[in-house]
Amino acid sequence: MLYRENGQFKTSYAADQQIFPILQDRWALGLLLLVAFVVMPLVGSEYFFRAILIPFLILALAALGLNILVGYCGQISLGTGAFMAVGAYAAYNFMVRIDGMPLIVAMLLGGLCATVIGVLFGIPSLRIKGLYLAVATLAAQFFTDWAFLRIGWFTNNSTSGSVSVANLNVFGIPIESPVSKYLFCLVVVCLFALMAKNLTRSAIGRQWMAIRDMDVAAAVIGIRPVYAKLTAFAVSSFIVGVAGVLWAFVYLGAWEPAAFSIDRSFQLLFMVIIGGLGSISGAFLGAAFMVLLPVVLDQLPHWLGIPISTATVSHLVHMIFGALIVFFLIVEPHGLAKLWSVGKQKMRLWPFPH
Amino acid sequence: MKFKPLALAATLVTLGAASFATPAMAQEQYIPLLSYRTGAYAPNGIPWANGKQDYLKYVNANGGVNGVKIAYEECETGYATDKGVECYERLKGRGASSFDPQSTGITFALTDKAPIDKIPLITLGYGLAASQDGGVFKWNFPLMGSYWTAADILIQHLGEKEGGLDKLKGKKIALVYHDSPFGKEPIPLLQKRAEMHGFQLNLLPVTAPGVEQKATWLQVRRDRPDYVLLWGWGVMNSTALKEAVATGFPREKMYGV
Amino acid sequence: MGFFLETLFGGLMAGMLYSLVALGFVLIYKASGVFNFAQGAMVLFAALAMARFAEWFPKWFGFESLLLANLLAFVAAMAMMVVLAWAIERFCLSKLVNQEGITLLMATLGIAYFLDGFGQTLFGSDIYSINVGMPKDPAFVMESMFEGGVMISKEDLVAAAVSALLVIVLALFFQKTKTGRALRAVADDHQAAQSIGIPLNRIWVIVWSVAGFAALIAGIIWGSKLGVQFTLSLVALKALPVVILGGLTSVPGAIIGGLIIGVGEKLSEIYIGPMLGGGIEIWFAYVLALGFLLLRPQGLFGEKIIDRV
Repeated sequence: MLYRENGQFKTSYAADQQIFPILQDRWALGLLLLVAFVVMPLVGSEYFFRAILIPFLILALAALGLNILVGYCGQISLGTGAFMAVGAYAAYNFMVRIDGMPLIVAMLLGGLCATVIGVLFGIPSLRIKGLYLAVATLAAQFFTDWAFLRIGWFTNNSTSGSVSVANLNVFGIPIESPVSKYLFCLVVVCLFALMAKNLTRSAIGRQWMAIRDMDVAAAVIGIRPVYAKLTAFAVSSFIVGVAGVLWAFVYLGAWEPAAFSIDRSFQLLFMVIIGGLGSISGAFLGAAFMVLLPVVLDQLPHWLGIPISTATVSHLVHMIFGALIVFFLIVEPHGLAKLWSVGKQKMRLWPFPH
Repeated sequence: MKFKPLALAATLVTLGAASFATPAMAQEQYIPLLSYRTGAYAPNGIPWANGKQDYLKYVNANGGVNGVKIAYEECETGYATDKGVECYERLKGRGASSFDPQSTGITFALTDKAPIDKIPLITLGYGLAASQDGGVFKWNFPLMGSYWTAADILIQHLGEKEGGLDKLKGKKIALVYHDSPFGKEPIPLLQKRAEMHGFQLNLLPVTAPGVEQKATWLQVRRDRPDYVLLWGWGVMNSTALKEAVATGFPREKMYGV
Repeated sequence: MGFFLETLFGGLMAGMLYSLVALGFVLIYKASGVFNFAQGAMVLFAALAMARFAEWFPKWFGFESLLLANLLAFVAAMAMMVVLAWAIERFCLSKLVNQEGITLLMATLGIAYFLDGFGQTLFGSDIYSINVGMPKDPAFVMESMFEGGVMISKEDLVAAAVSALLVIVLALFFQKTKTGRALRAVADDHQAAQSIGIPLNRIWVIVWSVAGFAALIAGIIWGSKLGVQFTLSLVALKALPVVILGGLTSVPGAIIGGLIIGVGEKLSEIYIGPMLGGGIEIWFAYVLALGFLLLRPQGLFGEKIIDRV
């Protein structure tokens, strides 16, 4: 009833091709952004920012990057954590070794380093695919785990191998308080989400999807697989690298290579599957789900007053994730994002479905 | 009129005392417990977490600390830094009086946050070795020494066994360590000690979590060190002992933290 | 020289264990085209069941005999693996027929997560031991030739013998029995096999049970060597390069690949590792497999993949 597009006529190509063609969607998005930018900083508690919103935003960004590779281009990657680590450690080195390096520049340079490594490990994708490619990306994961632990230069010869950053600021504004950290992440994530959305709607995005759906057919109609696959790897690892910088600098502050272990790679892959392969909103939904579920399950016994051991809860979280992944793959391979759009479709017709 | 300020002061004092007294009257002090009962380090985490709970229960059963009962709550970190940070943020809001992160990695991540929140980080025999200097890390409280103390005690014990630290000259000591910030902490101290006393230090890293040690112990067998210092945690220790038996290294020459 | 031989033996023995896990991968891939990431979780689950049942049965039924406890635990663990195989087929695989390999791979990742959590909820996450009476002490041979002799772990020898036996039994099963022939037929062509009346679903249950059996044996051997704990499920990650190297569809490939990876890993760790700071074996195996992939994508003994990019 409320969600109707009657009377909204498109009179120009620009209007027809905009990201949200329906007026109500634009309103909803505007409202969401308003809540995120204005209301949240006013009402959110410190716990909410530090433990939920900031990790959610950063992981959503990383999942977005991974989704470009897995969801749009159909190349599986189990080495996302590695590319995050490359971004984080590269940015760290730029910050430490060059005096007065601004955070934003270091972040983008970190992303660029991740891009180079991503393309390098993406080269095997030209010759192999599917699970063989998964093994190639696993090689990236184990190699970077080792490199950042063992090669002292990367960690500025810190004896323990753990590094930390302090006194972050952007254009002279310190990024110290939870609210400022949150807003900084939010701005970065929004910009990247907009960029990713437009990329996937452009020629290159269509090439990725063509390669994903059938590579031979795509090659026949004149898409260069080399170019399409490597750009997907490049864009994906750039975004993932930037997310790694944020995770290390903004969220953790001090970190060791274990922060970007293979568990992180799996976690991100699960976000993409649960959220929805091949959709931008899916990355956000998946990240929200994966961040919130363990927290809620952890607190549930506390709220209900059921004495249940913390270990059991964490095993339960494992089981639920596992079961959900299988469930989504069987029932709805396009994940939460698809459920959302199905819901919207129903809303358009409600209450008179015929 | 002169009485007025005095009365005011008296009221303030009473109020102050009352507000100080309130927590004591509530008879409770809240201590969050970060623990890890899952993951690769659970074999160490489970007994540690159980022990701490039992101790707190015992203290409470004996009437608490000066009549103040201790309330506690457990939060599972799985030895992962991000989970630890989440636990910290969640539990500090409930009036935590101190934190014992039970993990070197989480301690590193919390060291910057604790001074802002004014919550002491208590690290029992682990954590940032450099935090011994209380002037620099004002809110880190290492109890029972750090890894440097532990390494030093081991070296001194070996010296005693040999009949004096100078007798360590020319000996070979191998450090089999967990390849993580935790395992690397004692290295600078041991290297200095090696220079001082003239023993040879062999560093043998074991990749986390430490189930793959065959190559390490083959190296131990080749080098035949006089002593092995085992710097392991969780599943690494049990594996190390089994591999040591399988390579026939005498157990009386092995020292663990 | 003596030390080189020791390293070589150590590598061969480790490789034998990788082969055992890799075998599970190959069996399932051959019969259902699923790359089973959950093999490691199955090893953990089976080993946990074995360790805990062997501990619990004597308490529940009040007997002392270690042999009886182990036997009963083995049967119970195997029964659990069969039930598991049935459940996986019933609730997961049969719904995902004709999906792409990558989807199936992700589904097995989900199964792996589920099993990790489920196994530890049932059996606990502490470290448990399996005692099947394996000898623990090392033996020294060729003492006349080298100073100190060449050390061989007796336990490894027993493990290698068991692995070899398992491979022979599996080979016989595949070649000589009727079920084995049906399995091979399904592996060659699903549709053709179905059209001559081979029940696909039952075959899948059987093949997952056989993989469960391989997982149980691997779990017992690893568990008795190193103890049973969550980290055991990580052996899947060690076995991945093995299957890539040996070829996904070849049982001998899994064995030879395991030996190559085992030896290559240990030799590289000991002779190249110190130059790079140590701890290189985990990625060395992967880089070895990756380099191999670029040259020969189907692995050492694998069938040629036609639909390459």
